[in-house]
Amino acid sequence: MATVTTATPAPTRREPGQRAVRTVAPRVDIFETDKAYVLVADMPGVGPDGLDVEAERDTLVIRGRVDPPATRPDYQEFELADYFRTFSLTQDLDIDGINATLRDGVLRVEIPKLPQVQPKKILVRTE
Amino acid sequence: MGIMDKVTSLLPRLRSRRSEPPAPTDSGALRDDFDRWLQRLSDEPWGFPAVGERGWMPSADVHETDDEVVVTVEVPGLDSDDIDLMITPQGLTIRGEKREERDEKRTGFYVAECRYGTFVRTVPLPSGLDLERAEARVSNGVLTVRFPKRTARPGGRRIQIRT
Repeated sequence: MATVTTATPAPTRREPGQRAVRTVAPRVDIFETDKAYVLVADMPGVGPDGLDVEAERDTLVIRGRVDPPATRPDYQEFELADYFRTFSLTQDLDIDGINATLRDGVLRVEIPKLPQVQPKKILVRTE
Repeated sequence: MGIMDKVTSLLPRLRSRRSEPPAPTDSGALRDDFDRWLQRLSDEPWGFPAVGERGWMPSADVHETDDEVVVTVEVPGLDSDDIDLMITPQGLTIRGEKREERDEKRTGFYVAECRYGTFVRTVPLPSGLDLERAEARVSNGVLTVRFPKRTARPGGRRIQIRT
């Protein structure tokens, strides 16, 4: 069955020659329509320049960079930090047809199903 | 022999459980929980984040500098039309609604972590802020409200001491 599953989010990401950057895993919704799998991720603070969506064979990686505040909050419920989360993809998805949009800090990734897994409409002819 | 006696004689475990005195730790633990909850209420300097009507309450941060107090709220998916800000005697009240796109036909749902619906949240503000000059903006799903501090303390007045 075609699915997009969440992998364990990595708490930190290390870029070559850099110290580990603290990241948070964004909240996501994953659902299916007739033609595609849709992933919706809440990534407040991420603008179009800070977003990076990569799909390679069986893995979808989403990264978001934010401008962190200069000082620590005096009262804190959330940390405005970079986002990072990976997802596993099955083989029956059209990786080349992935479409990502970002609006008001919400990322929407549509991964089309390959034509052979899409439901086929069968015409019933009446004679 | 009454019917309940018959039943309890058939169910020895039930009878033995009945005869036990109520565990004293249970009520004690409950009271401790309640005390902790009350303590948490009084410990929160900026107000306890209560649960919204449909179970979501956006997270808020508060920064204070020498010149201003800045309230930052995570509101992914909301733009300025979806948010209503009011200064109330209790502080800054933020109302909004995060809508789910419902027009598309969904055939399956696998992960549902995002929160939707309406919320009302009040962030208490310290005194000494120039509320008239408050500025708010929402960008990329983050609401930022800045309150400049008043330079002179409101209502502060020197009292002459007569000799």
